[in-house]
Formats: sequence, C-alpha cells, structure tokens
Amino acid sequence: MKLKNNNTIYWALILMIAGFSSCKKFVQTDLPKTQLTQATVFTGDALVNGALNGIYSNMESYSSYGGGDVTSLTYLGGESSDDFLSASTNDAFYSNTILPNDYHVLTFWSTPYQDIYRANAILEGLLTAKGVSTAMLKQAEGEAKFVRAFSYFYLVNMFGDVPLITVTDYKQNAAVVRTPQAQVYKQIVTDLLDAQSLLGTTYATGNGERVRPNKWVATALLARVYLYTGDWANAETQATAVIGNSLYKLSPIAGAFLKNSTETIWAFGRTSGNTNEAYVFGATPGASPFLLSLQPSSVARFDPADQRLAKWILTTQDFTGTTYYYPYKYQNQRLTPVTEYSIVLRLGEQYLIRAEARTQQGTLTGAGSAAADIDTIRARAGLPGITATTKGELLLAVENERYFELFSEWAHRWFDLKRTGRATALLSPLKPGWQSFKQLYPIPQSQIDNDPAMAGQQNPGYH
Amino acid sequence: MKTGGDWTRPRLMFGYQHNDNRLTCYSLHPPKHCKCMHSTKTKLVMRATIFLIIVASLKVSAGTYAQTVTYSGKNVPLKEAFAAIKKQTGFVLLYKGNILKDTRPVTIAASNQPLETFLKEILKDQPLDYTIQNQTIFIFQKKTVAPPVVTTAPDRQPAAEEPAKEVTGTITNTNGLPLSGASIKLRGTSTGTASDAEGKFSILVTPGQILVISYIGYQDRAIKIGKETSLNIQLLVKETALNEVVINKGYYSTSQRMNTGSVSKVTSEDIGQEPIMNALQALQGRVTGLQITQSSGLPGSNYTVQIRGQNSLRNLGPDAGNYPLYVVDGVPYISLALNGAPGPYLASNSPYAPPGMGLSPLNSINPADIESIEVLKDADATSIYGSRGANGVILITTKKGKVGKMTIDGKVYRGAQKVPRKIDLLNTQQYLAMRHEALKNSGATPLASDYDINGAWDSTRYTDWQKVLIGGTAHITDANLNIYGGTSNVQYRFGGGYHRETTVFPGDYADQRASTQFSLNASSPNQRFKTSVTINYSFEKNNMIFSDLTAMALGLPPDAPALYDSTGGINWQKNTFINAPNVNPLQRTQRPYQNHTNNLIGNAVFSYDFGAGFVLKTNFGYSTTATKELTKRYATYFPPSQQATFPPQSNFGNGSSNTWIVEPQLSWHRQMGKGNLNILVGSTFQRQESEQTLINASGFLSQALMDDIQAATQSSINTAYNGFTYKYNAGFGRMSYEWDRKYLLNLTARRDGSSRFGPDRQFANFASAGLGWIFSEESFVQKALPFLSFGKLRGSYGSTGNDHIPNYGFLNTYAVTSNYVGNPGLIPFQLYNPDFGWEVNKKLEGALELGFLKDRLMLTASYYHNRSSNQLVGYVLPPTTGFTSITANLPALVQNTGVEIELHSTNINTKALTWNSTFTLTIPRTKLVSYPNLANSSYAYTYEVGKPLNISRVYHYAGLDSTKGLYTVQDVDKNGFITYLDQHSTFKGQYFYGGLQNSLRYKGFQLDVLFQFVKQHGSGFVENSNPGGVCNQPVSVLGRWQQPGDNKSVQAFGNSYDALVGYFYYTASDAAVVDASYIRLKNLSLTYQLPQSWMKKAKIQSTSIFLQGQNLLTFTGYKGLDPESQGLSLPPLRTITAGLQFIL
Repeated sequence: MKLKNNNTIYWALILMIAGFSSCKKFVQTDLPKTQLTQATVFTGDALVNGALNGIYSNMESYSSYGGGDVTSLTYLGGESSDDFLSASTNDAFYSNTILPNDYHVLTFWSTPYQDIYRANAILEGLLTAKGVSTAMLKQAEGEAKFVRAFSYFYLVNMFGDVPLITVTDYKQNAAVVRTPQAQVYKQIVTDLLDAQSLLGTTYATGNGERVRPNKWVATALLARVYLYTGDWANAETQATAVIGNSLYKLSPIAGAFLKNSTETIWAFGRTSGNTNEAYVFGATPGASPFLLSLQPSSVARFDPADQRLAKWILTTQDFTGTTYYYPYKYQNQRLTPVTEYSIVLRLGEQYLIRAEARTQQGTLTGAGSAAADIDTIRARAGLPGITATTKGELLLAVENERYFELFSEWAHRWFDLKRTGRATALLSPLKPGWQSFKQLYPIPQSQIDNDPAMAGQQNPGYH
Repeated sequence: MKTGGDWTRPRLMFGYQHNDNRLTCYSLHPPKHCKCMHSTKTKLVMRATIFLIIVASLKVSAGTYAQTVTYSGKNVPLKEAFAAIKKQTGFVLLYKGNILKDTRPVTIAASNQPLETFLKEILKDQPLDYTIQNQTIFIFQKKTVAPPVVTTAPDRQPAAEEPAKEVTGTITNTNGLPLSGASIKLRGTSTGTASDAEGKFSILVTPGQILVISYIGYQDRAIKIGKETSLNIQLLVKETALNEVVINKGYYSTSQRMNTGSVSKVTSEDIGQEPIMNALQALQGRVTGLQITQSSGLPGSNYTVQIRGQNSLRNLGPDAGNYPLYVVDGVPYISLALNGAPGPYLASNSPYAPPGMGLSPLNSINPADIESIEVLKDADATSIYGSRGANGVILITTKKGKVGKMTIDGKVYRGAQKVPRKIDLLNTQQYLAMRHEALKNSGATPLASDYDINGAWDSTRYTDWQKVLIGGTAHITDANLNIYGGTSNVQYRFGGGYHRETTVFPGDYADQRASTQFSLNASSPNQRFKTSVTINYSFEKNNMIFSDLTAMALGLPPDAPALYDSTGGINWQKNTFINAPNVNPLQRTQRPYQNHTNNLIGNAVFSYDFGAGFVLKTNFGYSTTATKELTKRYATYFPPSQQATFPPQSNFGNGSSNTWIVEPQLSWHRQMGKGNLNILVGSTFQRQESEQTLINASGFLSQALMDDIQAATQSSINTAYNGFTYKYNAGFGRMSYEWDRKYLLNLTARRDGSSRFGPDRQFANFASAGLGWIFSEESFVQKALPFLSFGKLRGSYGSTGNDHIPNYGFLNTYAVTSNYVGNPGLIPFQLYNPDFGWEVNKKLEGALELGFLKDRLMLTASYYHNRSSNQLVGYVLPPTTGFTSITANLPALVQNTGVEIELHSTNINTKALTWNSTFTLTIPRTKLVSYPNLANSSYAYTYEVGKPLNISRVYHYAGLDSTKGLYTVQDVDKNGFITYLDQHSTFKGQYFYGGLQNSLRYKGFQLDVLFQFVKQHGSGFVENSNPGGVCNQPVSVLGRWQQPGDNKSVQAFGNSYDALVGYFYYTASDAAVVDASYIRLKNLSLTYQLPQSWMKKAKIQSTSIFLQGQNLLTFTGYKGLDPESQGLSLPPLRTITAGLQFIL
C-alpha cells in the first residue's frame, strides 16, 4: 500500500520535472521591440533607404567628427592650424599637445570607422537583398561606396596610414595593421569612380534638397582627392565637370550658407534646429570668447575690402576692450525655422581646386587659367583680380584664397598646410613647442591596446 | 527583581477573586457583578481561569473532601447521578449547558463511596472531567481548556499507566515578558501546541513524558512532567546556541547546526542599530566574503557589491557580470538601478551617473521592514539558483506578523551628517604664487582667459570652497510605525516608514522615501493549508543637485569670485566665471533634477500539507519598479550673454521594470529511525520586462512650463526608447539526508533555460553536493576533547552559472536611430555572435565549525576555491570594427580563493551584564589562471595570467628629472620612448577586510560598537590638474622642485606640454597607487531601555532611547578625502542620530 503510494508520487515528480524543465518555448523571446534583423532590412527600398539615412544621421550628429560641434574636425582641426584662438589654456588641439588617450582623437578615429562598418554592411547586405528595386540597389551601392571613400579621405588626412577595412567580419577587423596611405587613396578613388557611375545626376533622392550624395557629390570629392594626391590633370577634369554643371552657381556672399543654396554640392540636412556651427561659434558681445574665436593674425591677412571679412566674420569687443573675431558663415542659432544646412562640399572649393591643379600644370594666366579661377572667387567677394603671374606667386595666391574662402570649414586650412608642406613654416611662430610630427594626430590608445597587431605602430613622436 | 513583579501582583489578586472568575467559564447563571469584571478586565479573567484550575487541582490532590455518596442505578442519565451528589453532599455541580448531551447513561451501585471515587466511576467512560473547588464541583469537557492542543497523531502517544492530564503553564523570558508563539512539544511524539498572546499554554500530558519548550532566539527547555499540572517556565536567551539559528536558504531552511553550506545571516537587530537608508550598508563589516564599497556619499547612491570576489572578466558598465542575485521574499529583485547605469539614456542626465552608478535599487526597501538578510556563498547554497547563482545570492526576508496581542511598535530618529574630513588646500597667496611660478617656469605670460591671475578676479579674495560647497550639515530623519499580532491561525503585520536625508551642499536637496509593508499569514484550523501574502510598497523622491560639488570644492581657485552678485543673482563676474571647470558652482542649481521611483514587491505563497510528509507549495511573486526622472536646464544655467544660444531644455526619463515569477514546488519529509530525509522538487517560470524612454525637449516659452513637454518647441523633441523582455525557466531539486544528527548530506540541482542565449544554447545544468559531519556528537570525540561543545566539518562542491549579459546579444539586428532630414534612420545595433553560451562557475568549499565552553565561543573557518570558465564578456574590440565590444565566450579561467573566519564569543553572560563579541575576517585572492593567447587579445594590457584581476597597468615611477624637475617614469625597454610596453601591473584591491563588533548590555543599557577594517591599495588622491594649473592643490605641493639639486617629491610648477606629460605619467604610474587601508568606527549604537516600572504606569510595553553614529572615526594613512570612496566624489558622511523606540 505504502509502496504504491510512493510510486505514484515518484511518477508525479518525474512528470513534473520533465514537464517544467524542458519548456523550451517559454524561454524563446520575440525580437526586441526596437530592432529588426539584418535580413529584414534588405527586403525593401524604404528599409535600405533607412540604413543609408542611419549613416548620414551619424555623420552629422554633434558627437561625430563631421557634426560641426566642439568635437568636430571643423572645430578641433581648426584649432590645430592657425584658424582659431582658443579660450582655454588646457586645450590639447590648440597647443598641439594631443595625447594618444585623448577623447576627441578617439572620436576622429572611431566615428569614420563606424560609418565604414555601416557602409560595408550595406554593401554586403545588398548582395543577398530580396525585393529591393534595381534603382535602389544601384543607389545604395553608390552611396555606400561614397561614404566609405569620404570616411577614408578624412582618416588618412588626420592619421596618415590607416587600416583599410572593406568587410564587416569583426574578427578580421580586430586584428588589422596600418595600410600605406597611397593604397588607401587607391581604394578611395576606386570607390568614388564606382559611385560616380552608380549615382544619379539629380537631387531626387533628397526630394530636391542637396542632402544626399549624387554623381556630382562623388565627382567633387574625387576632384579634391586627385588634388591631394597630386594628380593635377584629373583634379582639373573632375572639378570642371562640377563647375560646368548647371546645378551649381556661386551664390552671393551673404546667402552662400543658406540651405540648398546654388553653391551647395552636398550638405548635412537638418530638421531639428539649425547648424551646430552657428551654436558653437556664436559670438557673445561684451564677453571674451566662450570657446573659440578666429586667430587675429590670420584675420589680419584679409583685404579690408573683402566682403567675406564683412559678411562671414563677426567682430566684437569684450569688457577689457580686446577685439575678437568670430566665424559668421552660419548665423542662425535659433532652433526654428531651419534656414541653414551644414555644408560639406561647395562650389567655391571646386574653383580653387581647379586653380591649384591648373597652376601645377602651368596654366597660369589668361582665359581658362588658374588666375581666372581665383579671380572668379575674388570677384564674388568684391575684390579685384590678382596680379600674380609666376607659379610660385599663384600657389601662394591659391593658399591665401583658400584660407579666405574656406576658413572654419572642415579644417581645410589644417589639411592645406599639411599637404603643401607649409605647416611648420606657418605654425611654428604661432605655436610654442611646434614639431613637425604634430601634423598627424596620434592613433587612439584604445586601438593600439585592443588590436594586438597595431602594437608599436603609433605615429612617430607620440608615446 | 523586577522580573517577578510582573507576575506576582496579578497572582495575589486572583487569589481572592477566583470565585467570580470561575463563573465566567462554568456558571450557568453568572452573578450580576461578574459582567463588569469581564468587560473591564478580560485579560485578568483569562489568567485567573488558569489559576483557578491550578489552585483547584492542588486542592483535589490534597484530598480535603471526604464526603460520601450512596447511589444505585442502571442506565440512568448522568444528570440523575449528579442530582444525587448534590442532594447527599451539598456540593454544587457546575457545568455548561450542553456538555451532558453526548454523555452515556450510567450504571452504578455505590454504597458510602467517597465522593471522588464515585465521580470517577460515573465519569469513567464519559467525555468529561471534573475538579472540586471548595464545595463546588466543576464538570468540563476533556481537553477543552484554553487553546486547543494540536494533535496530528494522537493515536501514536505511548500508552501510559497513569491517565493523561491537563498541564498548563506560562512561558516568559528572564525579564518576565510573556513569549507568545513558543512551541511546546511532547518529546517523541508529534503532539504539541503553541503559547498564546499571554505566553500561556495548555497541553494533555501523561506523567513521565517530557515537554520540550522552544522559541526562536531562546534556549530549548525540557521538563519532565510529574505530578504538577501548572508550570511557570522561563526561557533563557539563546546566546550560547548560535548554531541553532534558522538559516533561510531560499527554497528551504535549515539550522546553522545542520547547514552544509556557507550562509551568513544578518538580523533586524543589527540592521536596526544603523541609521541608514539602505540595508546594504548594514552588511559592511558584518559578513565575511562580502565586499561592499560606497563610491559616493550622495544620499541614496549605489554600492559596489561583490560576494567572494570577481568571477567574471566583465566588470564594467550596465551589463557587468559580478552583481549578486537579490531575492526579496522569494521574488527576484533588480540588482541595478533603473536610472544611471543600466540605461544609457538616463545616465547622462542624472547626478547619479558614475561613480555613484545610479540610485541603489535597494533604497526601495525600508531597512526597518527587514527581518533578516542571508548571504548565500558556496555551491551548496547557490547551485539551486543555477544560472543566477555564480555571484552569490542575497536573500532579504521582510518582517511578518507574530502570534500575540496587537502590538504597536514605533521608532523615530533624527540626526546630522557631515563630511568627516577636509583636505588642507593652498590659500590665495600660496595659490597665486604657484600660478605665477608655473607661468615663469613655462616661459609664458597670463592669457586673456587666466582670470585667476590676470586681474579679472580680485586677487585678495579668499574662499574656503570646501566649507562653502561641501561643509554644510545634512539632516537625516526616520520614522516607522508598525502594528502586528495574531492568533495561531492568522498573523498580521502592517505599517509604514518615512526616511529623509538631505545633503551637505548649499541648497535644499533631499532623498526621501515613504514605504509601507503589509504581511498576512493565515492557515486552516488543522494547519494543513497555509497562505501568506507580503506586500512592500515604497515611493522614493529625490531632488539631488545636478552634480556633485566635491571636485569643485577641491579645485576652484581660492580667489574665485563671490557666488552671488550685488543683486543676489548668480555672479558670472563679467563672463569670467562661466567656463568649466572655473564656473560659478551655483550654475548647477539652475539645473534641477528630480527622480520619483515607485516600487512594489508582492508575494503570495500557498502551501498544503498532504500528510505523510508531503507539502505542495507555490510561490507567486511580482515586482515592479518605475522610475521617472526629469532634469531641467533653465535658461539661467548660462550667463545672460549665452542664453540666446542655449535654450532651456528638459530631459524626461522614464524607466520601468516588471518581473513576475511562479515557483511550484513539492517537498517530502520523512523521519526514518535515526535518519531524516528531505526531498524538494520545483520549477521556476520567470519573466522580466523592462522599458526606458527619454525625451529631450527644448525651447520652452517659460521656465514654469518646463515640466510640460507640450510647451517645448515642437521640432526639438528627441526621443530614445529601449526595452527588453527576459524569460527564464528552470527545474530544480534538493535532497538532504541527516543521520543521527551527525552525518549530513545535501544535494541540489537545477536545469536552467534563459532567453539571453541563442537557440540550442539556452539550457544548462547545475548541481552541487554538500557534506557535513558533526564530530562532536561522536562519543570518542566527547571523551577526548571534553572542552569542545560543538564541532562540525563541512564541505561542498558544485556548479553555478552566470547569465548577466545583455538581452538579444545573439541576434544580428538593426535599430532605429535619429532621423536624417526627417527620414528615420536604421543602424546596425551590435556585432552579433549566435554561439555564446553559459559562463560556468565551479565552487569548492571546506569549513570547520567549532564551539567551546558550551558554545560560548564559536568559530567558523572556511576556505573557498571558485573557478569561473567559459568567460562570457563584452569582449573589447578596437574601434576599427565599428563597435566597442562583442558578447563572446572566452577560454579564460578565473580563480577566486579565500579564507573566511567568523568568531563569536560570549565574554560575559550574567543577568545584569552581557558582553558579546563578533569578529569577521576575509582574505580574498583572485587570479587569472589561464587565458590562451592573452597577448593577442583585447585584454592583453588589462589582465595578466597568474596575476589578480584587480590589477592596474602602470608605469614605474622614476622620480623627478634633475634639470626640469618634472615627473618621469622608467623607460623599461630603453627604446627612448615611454610606451605601454614600459608598463607593469600592480595590485589595486583589497588584501583583507572584516569587522569587530562588541555588544554590551548592562541592565537597561545596550552598547554596540562596530569597527570595520580594510587593507587595500587604491587610487591615490589625484588632484584635479597638474601642479601649477588653474586648479587649487593640496598644500603638499609646496614641497615642489624649484631648482636643480632639489630632492623633492612634487614636480616643478608648470603649464608646459612637458609639465602636462610629466603629470600624466605620474598619474598613470605606480606612485599613484597607494595604500588606502583604513580602520573605521563604522557604527556605534547606545540604547537605554527605560525602566519597566515606569512603562507599567504608562501602559507601554517598553520604551528605549538611543544614540547612533555612522562612520564616526576613520584611521587611515590615506591622503585624500576618504579611502573607501577614493577619488573626487563626496565621501561617505559621518552621521550622528538620536531617537526613540516604543512598543505599545
């Protein structure tokens, strides 16, 4: 009797354990409410378009190197050169005393690699895409390649040789070494040529707004890349292709930075508030600079009649009577209405690319020459033509004109001084303790620490 | 003695009032004056009843009555026989109306029989009994006096020669206070009862049987019953019987004596001595193997809690894998705060962002509601928690109702808190001299922004910023009121508490908690069906200053301007006092923060005893935590010149987490001769849902409207959302066998499934075995070691797991990101790894428990050896991967070993004076045993094989260079550069820690003193900046290098790049890792219980007044603010409180 009872219980227990513990269904969860699987993303045009928007949203975010905020290349790269005067004494970029564990250097390194990962993920995802239109396949591939080229362009100019990554496999990407700059540039050119052939010729993808890369955006960057790599003929050709396009026209000085100006080739579009640049450089009348102001010795180079001095620079005095100059290209600090977009590529630069390429090729003066291109830019600023005639004079004229035209944008000045070998000459009087190695930023410590293959590959001078 | 007074007075009174009192029980016609007795003194009546019986029975046995009866009859009603007695003897017979209903007719032939013999004869086969008092015979039903006796197996009572009789008694403690709910059992049977609210009981006993009286916290007493029928039993506090303490091991309980695992227990008594908001604090210094570190003195901030060291390499961030499992009344409880750490969104706008790591989730539980906290450590104790047990388990049990009359218990205290220590900083003169010297050394002149020395600020000003910013007095207020009581079938407890703590900062900031607790236990009359419901609800309201002012108090130049301008507004000093770090600290007052947290933990348990040892029990639990945060940045946060640029902004954060759990379980208990078998099987279904939302809104029309999202400019609203579902399912079992109270075996097992793992990786098994041998029960040991009162050897081995990893880590997903020109963006959410599986933690423990001098000295020494393999970590990746980490299993093996010693001694134990001491010591060691290919992994420079996990990679400090006087570090590889290759590892952690508690009681006084000690290395006090920078410094920097030939320890003042690099190397060198050991008078509590005689008059059970202090003294060689919190955050505060407790 008792035995039987125990048996029953024994079986009950077995059933209980078996019933409860192998409840596999119970521990299966639905997908998170905030996420889509990767496979789902590449099943429709709208979703692929979302993945592209995700990249631009990251690129323009205030914490990115491209966001125009205090962590941006515009701001910090400008400090590294003679663009800006810093309000802070302990400012590593301003004093060119950056340490490898610097937070901003990490941003400069990791945000482009984030964008590269996303571009690579799109390129890989497109291979197995289902239900995506041919037009979108082409457009997405073109934009992804453009983004990858764009990111590498900035990486090599900030850091020199950088690891070249074209896949998403993290095992591979976690053990990379530095690729020689020339090889990275080759990839940039290949990607941009692909993008040129894949992308459309209008701004239809941005609903008419100049916020998404098209063929001309790729062309404009390609012109710059050729210029940076000394391929003068191609630089001239590509710049001419942009300049000759009816979409683009130099706009008056005052309206050049308004959203979708005819000058704009590509801008980061914004819907919530105006540009970070307008906030960050915002002048405070009666106060010494909150963060940055323009380097007075650089401002002194402007011709007093230059409309860019009058319209793109705000002059103010603090309570001690000291005069400060602020970049005033972007002026709208208010949230709404949005009137300005943060411009990445614009026509003015293309003229100056061509001017430099023509100078290097010996097309110095006369119609279709370097001088003609410079004069086009000067004329818009209300200035007479230049008098330079020799190659040396013209190169200097281009250098100066690039400063007058492109100051406080995307660290153009910093990159120019570096690539033309003029950095040491111009910066050492301004910056105590300047040394030539400071032209490259240090590779972030977290890359060196976490990628064993990078051991000992820090840029020279940094330790 | 005062103990007697309580009892003797009523006794005298009963002596002459018994005639009235008896009638309330037995009389058919109570006299008129009885009613008033009854109504006014019910309590006395009940006591009197028992006395009546005692007195009566004494007289009966004395044989005073020699009346005789002559009566014959066949099958006559009993009533007739009674009538004959009355007629013949003149005695009155009293009985309740209907008790004769079930009596049998009587057949008797008696001739001049003594009255008692006659009574016995006629009542022989009746369900009745009698007593005689004076000339009155009371007839009553057998076994019906006072509370019913619980008899589960009456038929098994041993046959006795003498008939069973009613024995009544009263159980009190040595102070004469009645003990209600004490267990009274007949040894060798399952018959027993419990004492009532007055401590009284009644039980049917056969002479010769032994009554065993037990009560939690008191020594058992065994009384052999002879002729007596009434007992007055005093129980002694069980101060020498620590090993009988009941230990809750979650799914089952055992006693300290029979326990085969490692469990530390802290009770409400210890918790009640500390004026704290969070019960975790009471564990510091009291529990071996438990390391609790307070990293911030902000009220309500979190603690780092580790049980037996770091098991997982994953030690940072919201998914850190080293938090223990908290279980409150059987309901798993969140181990991380909803603000701060776990939500990436909420953290950035909370003053509790690291280092405080958010508000502690345990703030929601009122320490006054906690009955006990058990810390489960070894495999024997934690394997039954399977995948959640690797880091140990902290079980919190809240207070329940008690059998007894309704009792009201109130406690109130108030007190003050201060920063205990100041750092001696430079005064204005010294500071300015330092700054000028620094510029001179660097060949520079003051910049436009060097306001501290360029004339912008009044260089004659001096402000002691420590005094102004963190020198205030914080106030602490705490009040609790609880009501409890119950009968043997229903017990209840309910009440509420309030706690408020302010800060030392200027301004009105406080963390407040209101809490209520409700507990109800009910059981069926036969005690087979039992149910209990517990509900804890609390509301925490916090309006902390937006960020800690401590770093500012230490760093602001002493000549910084006044806080207020002439109009009483924030002084921006002509826009020179506006840039961090030299910004007016009042700026932070313009960024109000508020946090509202609601917390509910509800638990219902139903159990049914089928008999034959089977009990089916199901636990239903639900807990929900909802946090609402709001940070407002007023336009006035910025000086007027910048207000156009930075519009007012509000950050709304909402977080919630809900968990439900159902745990059906079946247990079986069987006593088989000397063997005692317990079997438990059960299963767990658990689901947790968590959600967090952040809305950033800006551009408000008015400061007054900033709580209203609608009032924001539409286009400025950014939102973030984060949510997850976690599901968990398990089956578990336990089997324990005890033989002869000497040999103990305890086996546990669990099969766990968790949704955090990918398909085919979801389930895993965990098991443990615990063994114990109470060798002091062996006769040869008793002979050989007579001084040994208790001796046990125990050991355990088993496995646990760790699933503290992010949810959905195995999925390859895209998530929504911010819009781009109004179009939603998608970004890859994570690098995915479908193959990661459980981290396995194997635990081995051996322990020796000894008791000497009748257990007056108890020693527990244990050694543990835990190994964690298959490490599941957020594997840090270089940024070139596009991400910072990936969840993966690593082939690494982490070992934690340690020795824990616990010593309790009863130094003095007399009625007037008792003195107990408890000493705890933990010596933890952690080691990375193996890590294949570590050199080529991301952890190459974080960990080192063969070294502890808590190491820091540092340069070797090499003194000042002789020409510039700057800090240098050694170029170990002599390649001319200082690189990471020149770094070595140094230990940064605890070598040992523990506590010493002394409790003294003298008459009404009780003094408790707890010292906590820690031997450790930690971060030295690192100044805000290099010596010479725009930042104040400790006066010790005056011993700086000034000229070649100086032999100094502080580098030359300077602001050059070289000076900054030198300072950077110094802070990253072994010179910055210092001895941060300390001994702290953690807690002091002095309580005085007002004399009982006063209380009697006021009809109060007891009243005590007390003084309590926390962190009163710290002995340390550490140079910074505090060796525990280290760094530049607000240190743990010194607290002194005074209060009052009363029990009605």
